[in-house]
Amino acid sequence: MRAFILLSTMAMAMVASATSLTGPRALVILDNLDDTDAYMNLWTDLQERQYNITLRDTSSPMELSKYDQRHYDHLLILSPKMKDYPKGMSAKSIVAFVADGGNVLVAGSPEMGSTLRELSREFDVEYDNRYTTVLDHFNYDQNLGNKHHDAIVVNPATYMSKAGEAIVPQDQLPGPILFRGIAHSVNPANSLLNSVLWAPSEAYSWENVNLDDPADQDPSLSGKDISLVSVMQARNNARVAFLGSTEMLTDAFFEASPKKHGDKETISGNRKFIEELTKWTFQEKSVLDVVAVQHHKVGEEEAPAHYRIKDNMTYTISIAEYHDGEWHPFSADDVQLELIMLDPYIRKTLDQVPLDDQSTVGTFTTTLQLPDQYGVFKFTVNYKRAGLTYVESVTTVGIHPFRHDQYPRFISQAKPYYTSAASMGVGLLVFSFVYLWGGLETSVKTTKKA
Amino acid sequence: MSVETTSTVARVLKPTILILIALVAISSRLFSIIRFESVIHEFDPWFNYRTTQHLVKNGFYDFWNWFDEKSWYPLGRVVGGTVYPGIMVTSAVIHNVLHFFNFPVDIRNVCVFLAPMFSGLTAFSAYLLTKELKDSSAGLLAAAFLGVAPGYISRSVAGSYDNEGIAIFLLVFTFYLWIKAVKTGSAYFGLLTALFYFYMVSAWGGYVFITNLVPLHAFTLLLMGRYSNRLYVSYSTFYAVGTLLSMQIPFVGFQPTRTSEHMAALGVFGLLQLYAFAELVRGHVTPKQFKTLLRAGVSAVAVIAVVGLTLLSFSGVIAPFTGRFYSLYDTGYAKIHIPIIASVSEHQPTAWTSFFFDLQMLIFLFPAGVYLCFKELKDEHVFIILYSVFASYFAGVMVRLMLTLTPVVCVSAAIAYSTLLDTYLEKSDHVLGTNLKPLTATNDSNGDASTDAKPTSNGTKKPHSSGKGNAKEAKATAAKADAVESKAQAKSTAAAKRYPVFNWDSRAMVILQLTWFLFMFAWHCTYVTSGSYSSPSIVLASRQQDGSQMIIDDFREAYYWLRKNTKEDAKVMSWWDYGYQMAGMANVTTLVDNNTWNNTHIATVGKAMATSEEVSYEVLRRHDVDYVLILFGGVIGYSGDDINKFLWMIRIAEGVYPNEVKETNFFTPRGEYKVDQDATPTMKNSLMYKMSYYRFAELYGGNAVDHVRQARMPSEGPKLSVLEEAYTTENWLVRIFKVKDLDVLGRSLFDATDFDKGKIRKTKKF
Repeated sequence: MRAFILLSTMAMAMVASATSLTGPRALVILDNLDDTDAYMNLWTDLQERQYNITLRDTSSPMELSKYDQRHYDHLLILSPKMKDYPKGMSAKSIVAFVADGGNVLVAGSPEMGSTLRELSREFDVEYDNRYTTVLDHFNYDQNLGNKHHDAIVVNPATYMSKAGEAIVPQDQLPGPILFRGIAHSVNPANSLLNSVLWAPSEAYSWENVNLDDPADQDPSLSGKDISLVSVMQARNNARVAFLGSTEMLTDAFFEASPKKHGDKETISGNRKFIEELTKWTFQEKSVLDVVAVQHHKVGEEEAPAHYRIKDNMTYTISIAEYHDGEWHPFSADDVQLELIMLDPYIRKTLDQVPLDDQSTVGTFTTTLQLPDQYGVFKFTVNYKRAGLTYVESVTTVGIHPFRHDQYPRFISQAKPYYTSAASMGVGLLVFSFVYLWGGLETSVKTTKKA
Repeated sequence: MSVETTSTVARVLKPTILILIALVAISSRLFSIIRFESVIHEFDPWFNYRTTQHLVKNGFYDFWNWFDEKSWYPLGRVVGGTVYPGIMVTSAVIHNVLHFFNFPVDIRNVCVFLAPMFSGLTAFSAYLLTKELKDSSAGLLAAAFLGVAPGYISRSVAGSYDNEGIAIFLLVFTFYLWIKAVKTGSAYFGLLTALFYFYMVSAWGGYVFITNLVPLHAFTLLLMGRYSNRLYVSYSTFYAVGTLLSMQIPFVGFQPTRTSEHMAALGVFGLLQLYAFAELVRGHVTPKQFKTLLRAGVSAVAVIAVVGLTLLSFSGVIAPFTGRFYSLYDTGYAKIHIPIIASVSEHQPTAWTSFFFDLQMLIFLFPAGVYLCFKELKDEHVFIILYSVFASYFAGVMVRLMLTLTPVVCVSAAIAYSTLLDTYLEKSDHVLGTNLKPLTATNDSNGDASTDAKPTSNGTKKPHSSGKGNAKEAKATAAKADAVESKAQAKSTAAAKRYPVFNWDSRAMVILQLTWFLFMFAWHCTYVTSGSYSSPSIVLASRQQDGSQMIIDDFREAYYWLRKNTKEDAKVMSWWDYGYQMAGMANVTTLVDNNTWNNTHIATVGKAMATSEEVSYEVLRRHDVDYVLILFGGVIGYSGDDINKFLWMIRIAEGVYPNEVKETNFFTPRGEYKVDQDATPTMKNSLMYKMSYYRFAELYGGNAVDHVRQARMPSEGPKLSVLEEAYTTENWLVRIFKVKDLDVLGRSLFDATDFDKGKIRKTKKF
């Protein structure tokens, strides 16, 4: 176990040089390489965080992986108009890329083609129909969306997921978020998906072709049903982000000063928002790692090969959290341990050991008495919180019944039997003596008659 | 030849013959080894082998406390407490003794050859038993019969490392000791009976047969008015010591005091004490007082016993009969109530042909032998009669119990056969006459000793007294003989009136015919042994069209694959039949195995096999199953495959999950069990069907025919989404499927599989 901790610390030290835990290689697909200049701030931000960015347009062939080796660690698809995948790439290869641990960011736009729609559908994300856009006649930006009310100003305090604090922390955003693009909805049944940002209550999704004509039908999506940005953390902890807008990544939106009708001019929160979002997506933060799991009987040090029923034991799990290029101790008050054999027999919240300056990992521990049931138990910590890496630590341990010599030797209930056995023995001895040397010749004869 | 030379020759011949019989018994069990190799057979032996290995490796205490985490996942199995350790301990002792003398014998070979070795001992104990009943020549015949009778060979060929291998020896030997104990009335033999009874309890669940037959014998003797001090001493010793010893086996534990199966023994024990007490009282009071006392006593005891038993049974202190036991009374019981018992082929009622198949000529000599026992009707003959009646009944109810019938058949047949030989080989009637006379005399004196209340002449009879006592006894017997001389005279004259056979031609005809029967018997036994009972069943042999032999070794291929290609703690689900083999050969964790102690767990596996992919996937996930293993015989026509066993899985699952599995849904409206395109939707959707026929049609380019069920399969085979094929053996006999993980993107596995096949999902509004 000690060697294991050492190894993990070494591993931590090694990855600390790269900011992203997955790796520095990022591939960006653009509709046209001419669009490169529009995202200058984004590239700068990414390069500052030590990414090697490869820019490609949809016409050039590219391979995400070869011989089961990923060529890239991150994929940014900023090419909503893409009709077909570039040569060597397909929806399958992107899904395989995610399954292999690669992170993906997909940005859409009203001109979005069916290629990306079908891809996002595999992630249970459904973009609205082509040529629709999110409109809001109350929260539009007076500078960029004055004409069609399509550049909307979203207040993060109201329309950003509270649960997504681990993804984009609200209080770090300098101002509201500016959005111009397509709406999407997420499958609420898919627990891996989270909406990070959704449209204001007054917003709706409508065709952007004849925006001057009156809207004579109910919009297909409106209000909070519209997700603007949502994220998925796949079961293998690869992260995927879906944006409804490529424009929100551009310099124009980064540097804009959104101003709602009747409000004061503010600073755009887009740059910070995108920074935090990409940090999350590319595994630069909110990454948890189970450094060590220890369990042993109370009063012992080493993990036993198996436990006995009703043993008192201590379970300890150490979890580290990665952010800002370093591993830090993770702290939480809701990490639970479950003892499962088909059903949970015990479920207990673990106590965090108080942190000090030296601690590099968060240690959670508890002492409990094992159930009076033998079998093969799984000591499971199944800690899944929105935005954080899924922690699923399973230790399989057998709980055995008593050995033959572990039962109490003498029990008080059996005293009558001990007495009877002893008296029987004594009786036999006495009888033998009387029979052999007692000289009861006559009485022997009568007993013999039976 | 003079009488002395004959006896000298006989003294040399008998051991020689016995040794030869033992050699024949051993060598006729070696077919499987010569034909295949030295492997453990079938299913249960694999468990016994695995536990023996554990015992040899880790020592006795570790074995005693062994909690096996690799079986019945995740429940585990307390092996030490759920096993009859006799056979493992026996092999381990043999192994350790051999190693002590520096014979480096592998434990596997000890296990493989254990049953044949013990069959030699069985033949010897059959000799001893029959010798007690008639004479040593009948004993030799019985030994020869039991040595080669297929009914016993079926469970004791080399490699068939099962409890029965040693249990039949113990059964016969315990019975021999019991008869000896009753005959001599010595506590020494009673104790020996108890010791061997203990060995039997440690070796096989069939010990219940002894615990019921011996008390029954005692009870019958009591009813026949043959109570004697001999009976009292032998039974009391046997019961008290035997019961205490048997309770030392953890698997038996407190059963002897708590279950109905053991109550008869306890009851007879009590009855004997009461009877003995009554006899004691009788000697001290006048007959009239005794009558009153007796009436009062009997009615009081009867009332107390009935009330007590009823109360104890209703309050649950005495467990009712187990289901396996019920099915012995009503053969239809198991089929209706406990499908898991009925599903085992060896629990089926016996077909009448198999009596002849397993016993050949013995089966018609058997009644003759029983009849001869009736003619003698000494205490030990009563025992044989009871044994044969009950064993015949049980053998008719359950195939497996043929095994307990075989020894008594051999003994009775040997008595009949040897009586025939006696009659037709005898030189003159002189011998016959002298033989018969003392026999009848002793018989009568035995009967009188218990029935007639004559304390003056009988009181001195004490079995274990010294030389003085013997003399007294002899005197008493002599007096006795005088007293009943007139009676005996009448009988012996009646016997002498039988005309012995003198003509050499009629003698020769009968003797030749009997010899011919013996030849036929030996020939039949060898034929049956070599043809039917020597297949290890983990390796199959078949003849190809050109006559050459083809060995089908798919089982070991699959198990070896599992052993080498799966992670150490991989959990493999299969029907329980293969559990022991997988644990033994593939060293993987299994969910259920041949120790069918937990019906719910087995039903859960049945449910996973019989329901649709969605339902069964949940079951598979919950039990952490990594692989599913099935048998499919459709390619080579192996009829023992899982589709043929499927109905049992469905029935067992329905017993526990009646809402999720329904047997009727697997039958077509016309009530047929079909697998082709007429199969019901439930059948086609069941995981078992899908696994069995997955890619089967492709193998034949769309024109697949299932060779077991003679069914033409649809050209499009079933699709699998939650499993993927991991391995299929050469002849498709064993198929292994891997359980897929949950989809990485959170889709259903059906959608994920469709996507991998290039299908595009339709628009969906959330």
